[in-house]
Amino acid sequence: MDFALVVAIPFVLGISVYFLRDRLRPVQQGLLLTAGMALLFVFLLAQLPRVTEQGALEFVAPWMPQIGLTFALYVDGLGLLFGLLVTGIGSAVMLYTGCYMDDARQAGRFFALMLAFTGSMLAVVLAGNVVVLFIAWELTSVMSFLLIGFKGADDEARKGALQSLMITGGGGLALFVGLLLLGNAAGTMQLGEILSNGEALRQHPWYGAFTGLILLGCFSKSAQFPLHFWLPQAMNAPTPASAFLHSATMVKAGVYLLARLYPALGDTALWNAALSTVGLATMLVGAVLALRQRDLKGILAYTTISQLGALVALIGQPESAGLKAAAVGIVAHALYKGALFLIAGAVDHTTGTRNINELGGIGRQMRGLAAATAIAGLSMAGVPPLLGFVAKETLLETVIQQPLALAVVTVSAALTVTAALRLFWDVFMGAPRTRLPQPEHVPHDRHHPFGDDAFDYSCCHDLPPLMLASPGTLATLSVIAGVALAPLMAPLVSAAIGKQVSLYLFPPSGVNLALVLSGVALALGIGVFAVRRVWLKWSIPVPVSGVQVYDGTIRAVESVGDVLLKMQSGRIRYYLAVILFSVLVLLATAVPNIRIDLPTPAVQLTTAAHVLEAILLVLALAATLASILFERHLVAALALGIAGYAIGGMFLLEPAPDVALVQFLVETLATVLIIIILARTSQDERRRAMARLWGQTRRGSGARPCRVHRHGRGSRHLCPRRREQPAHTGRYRRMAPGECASAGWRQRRGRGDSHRLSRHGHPD
Amino acid sequence: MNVLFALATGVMFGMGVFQLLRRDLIKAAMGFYILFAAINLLFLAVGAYDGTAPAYVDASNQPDGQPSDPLVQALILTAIVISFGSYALLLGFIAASSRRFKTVDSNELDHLKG
Repeated sequence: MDFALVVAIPFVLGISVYFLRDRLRPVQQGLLLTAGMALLFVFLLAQLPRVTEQGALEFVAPWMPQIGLTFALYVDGLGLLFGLLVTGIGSAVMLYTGCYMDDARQAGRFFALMLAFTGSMLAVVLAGNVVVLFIAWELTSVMSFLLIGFKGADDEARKGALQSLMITGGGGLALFVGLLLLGNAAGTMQLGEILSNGEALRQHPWYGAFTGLILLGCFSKSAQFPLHFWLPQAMNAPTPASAFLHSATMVKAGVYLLARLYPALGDTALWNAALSTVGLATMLVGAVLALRQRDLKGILAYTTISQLGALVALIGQPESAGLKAAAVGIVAHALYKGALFLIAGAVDHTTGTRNINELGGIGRQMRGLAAATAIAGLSMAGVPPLLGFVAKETLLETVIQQPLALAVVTVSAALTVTAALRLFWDVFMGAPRTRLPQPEHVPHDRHHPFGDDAFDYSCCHDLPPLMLASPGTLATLSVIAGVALAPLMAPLVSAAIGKQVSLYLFPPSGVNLALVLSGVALALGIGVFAVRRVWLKWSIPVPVSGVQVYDGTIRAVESVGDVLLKMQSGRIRYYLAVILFSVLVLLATAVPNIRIDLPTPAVQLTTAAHVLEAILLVLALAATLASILFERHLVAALALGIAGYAIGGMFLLEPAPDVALVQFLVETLATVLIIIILARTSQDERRRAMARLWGQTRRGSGARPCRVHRHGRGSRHLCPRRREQPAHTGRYRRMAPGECASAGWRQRRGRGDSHRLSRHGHPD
Repeated sequence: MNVLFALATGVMFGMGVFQLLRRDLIKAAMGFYILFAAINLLFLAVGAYDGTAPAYVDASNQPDGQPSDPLVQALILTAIVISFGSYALLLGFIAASSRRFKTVDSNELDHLKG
């Protein structure tokens, strides 16, 4: 019950802050939400001992009992770890956002979305039913879409938002099918039962199908190569959203689900091969591409991709060997990357740029920020005694037996060191740039959270303490967690992976290979950083980027749409023809089943009635044909009337005199009716309509309605004064003054030429 | 006789469809009417038997001979009335289109196209 509240509270908070957004300043909104998130964090932390003792807690409420669907929550160590991450990083981000957002209305909208995301994400990690999990999963995708596109006026933001939704939503569809198959195979949608059913599921004939689909969903969500490209595009989101969603929590949902389903699906040849291959490839690609980025957030995005790859590869290790390293890595990464994202936002906020080439030497003015960056960067680089170091050590120890993986991890770790150094050194140290772009977006009085004169706030001055507090706290936590491994991290990780583990800063047995490689990576990274002037000039040829493939796909879909649109002529005749043709095709399928028995004799013309009937039949057909061939409507209508009378005559011969009477009556009425209609439409219109039998409309052709001398609707004549208007174009030629008006009219009808020439003999 | 009727009905249907698909809406309405005429012919042809006397007469005044099939006559009566009603409605639409859009050319009535 209480866990259901945990999921519901963020939604309630989000809605309340949205409606209070006109009454509260952004900072007040932020503080309120920070308090709420911190309460949730404390509550979840308090559950940790309970979960460790009792195992998973389950909460089931009926939802749609008719189809056996329940709203179920399943709280175990893994869920709690992620829940703590969401609420912990969430509190820091909320506090920060209060200072980051300047406009209270904007802030209210942003907070509402962030809180809705928090609730969805908590539902993902606490879900006890795959249907609940999937719905929450898709909700996080939608919230991510809304947050990336938060600055909706920006083209790039909209594009990035759509792209991320396409990739994660498409992956979500695969995941949905996969989860349904999984539920079908397991015979239950309850996560707890699925997890305890692992042996049977791994033997199931559909194992390949549902595992493949679920992996696809997880890989798309966690930005695994080659679906990684949406994550850098997602950096158009406001920085707090990037820090929260696209680094610390949402992109780890894929990792979470992989770890969650490990007991049920994991540790098979398929699983291990897919996860290690994709994970290691992503790790390397992300680390290499991070070097080329100029945008601070771009660097952070690609190193995030690299780290996510490492986590996925760890979950692909046999016999749960990688889970410990994965759990440590998740926490370490969330702490330092969250801090670094917030710092990037702060740099952007005060200097007005995130381009690393335009930045440099700002550490002099922003000492606090520089210090926080240094700590977080050291954790990212994996320097003892920070948590990042422990994460890297456990990672290296896990793959110590696999030379290829070891090489990839070491190189990636080295490049991550380079990226961390670039983030710190090239932004905060070195020669200050002469002129920084000014942050234009902020009216200065807006900057003062607690009144006008609380801070002297011009460009490049230090940040308000509140804005520094969040990254500072996260960076400090990296240190504390690294130092206090045994009391803090060990219980958390043990609960998360469900068995007792011990963590240590340095191996108790002295120096081992992992430690050596860690040192090698550090040295290599520093070396690469030292020669950055050289490789920054290199252009790495990328044969085809994911964005290009994506854009190409979108273009292809659009061109198919264009072709389909061309089929829509908007013309009634066309649709009618399609309908008639379709009916014809349907009828044609019945042809093989039709048996035709010709009567004998086939044509019987023995009596006078028969002969008369045949004559009338021919007359009806001839009159109908005449009504088609005659262009003039009046003649056609009369011919149609004759056909009707002929049919009436046949009724008379049937003999059915009463039917014939009705037919004669109706036929007369119909002919009268059409003559009335002819009187009510202008001859001009009709002549235009029958100008060509099947052809396209030529707007300039045929007789045009007279726009100058508007007739009453009963008129059936061409405008009598049209001949005086020289401005008619199209088929009409401009008439010279004194030219024969009637000849002009005839020429318009298309048969007056010879007449005109013979009568007037104009030599031209 | 039946073969002649069958052929005539087919030809009539064909002509009706052709006329229905013309640009000129008044001609299209005529095509619609031709289709109805073709259906009447069809009904006439599918009568169960040839009669020599009318079906609906005063019982005391029944002429000699086989009465014609009353079922198809009932169907034809219904069809005639309905076809006339639809025809009138169609022509009314055309008059309205002419008044509103100043055209009876279906190709110019392409407001459906976005």
